[in-house]
Amino acid sequence: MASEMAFAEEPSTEERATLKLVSQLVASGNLHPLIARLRDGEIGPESARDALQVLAELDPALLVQITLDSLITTYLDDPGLAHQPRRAVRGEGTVSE
Amino acid sequence: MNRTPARQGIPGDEDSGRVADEPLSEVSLLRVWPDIAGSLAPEERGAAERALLAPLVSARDQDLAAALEVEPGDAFNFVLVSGTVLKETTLASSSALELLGPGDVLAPPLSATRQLESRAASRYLAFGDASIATLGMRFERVAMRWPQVSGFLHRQIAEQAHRASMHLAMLHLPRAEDRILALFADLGERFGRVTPDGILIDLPLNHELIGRLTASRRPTATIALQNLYQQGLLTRHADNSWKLCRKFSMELAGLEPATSWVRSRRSPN
Repeated sequence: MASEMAFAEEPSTEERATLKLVSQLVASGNLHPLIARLRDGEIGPESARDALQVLAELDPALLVQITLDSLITTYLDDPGLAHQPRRAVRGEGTVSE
Repeated sequence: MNRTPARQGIPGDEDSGRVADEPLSEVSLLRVWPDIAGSLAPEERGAAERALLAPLVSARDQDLAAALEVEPGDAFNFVLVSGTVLKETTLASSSALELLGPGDVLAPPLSATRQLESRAASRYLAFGDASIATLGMRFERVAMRWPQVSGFLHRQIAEQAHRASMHLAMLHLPRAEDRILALFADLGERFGRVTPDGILIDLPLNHELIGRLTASRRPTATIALQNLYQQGLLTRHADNSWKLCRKFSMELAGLEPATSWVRSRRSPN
């Protein structure tokens, strides 16, 4: 019921693909869905760019987090050394004036 | 578009000059801004209502540039009497939208010189049917007789400026869902009707428009709205009206002001 009209304004095929990819990124909390689809040639760099731009508007903190996680996992010899609590990374609860 | 010529007359002139079955071509600003009446002595209200008659312009889904075009000195402001108007302000390749409702003030278009000097250009677009009253010389004379009227106009403009600032702050919320919730909280307050299961907002806003009102592109607005539907915070009806659910509050959504100076001012101590 709540989502009865969610797609009442039919998105284009490209938009639908972008929405699907962004939803996968949000659900997985990492860049794997994007990387997998790029590797398989399912999408091109422009589609990947669209998805990342939408995610940047949707939740920039999440985009930063999953990008950082991906960089740490890919490039650090010991990702465990880079571990920080997620809330601290996001800066939540640290408002100061 | 339908422009009605301004009537001649002075404040207090009791000759309406209007035939009973003639379509409404004027409106008393006392009906648009009923709060003005409260600031007037009861015996003056009748005269004020007549003196505050203003010519009406009506339009539907169109740029209001032509409707708001006036000779210099003819009109200094316009008031939205009914319907909604979108104010679009463009700077470089970006544009921002504001939604104006009944009682809101519209500025006359900038002169050609001012437009060249200004870094940003604004235009008004009727969103559906809109009726707009002109505040001209007659209003100025009324304001001289009843200074409370210009006091009210100033407060109205200040309130509108505050709302624009609030909109600006809303655009700084990083998450699209939060921006949309803050937008609907504002729309609910201004245009909503309380029903048993939420606040009904009868505005046919589509995803594109919601995106533009919240600095998001359409696909972002679509995903954020989808999430809000799933959380049961917002519903869209088949007639394109919206409902902000009863359990929604700015506090619950984490959208209350978080800075210490606001908290200290709101604290009972």
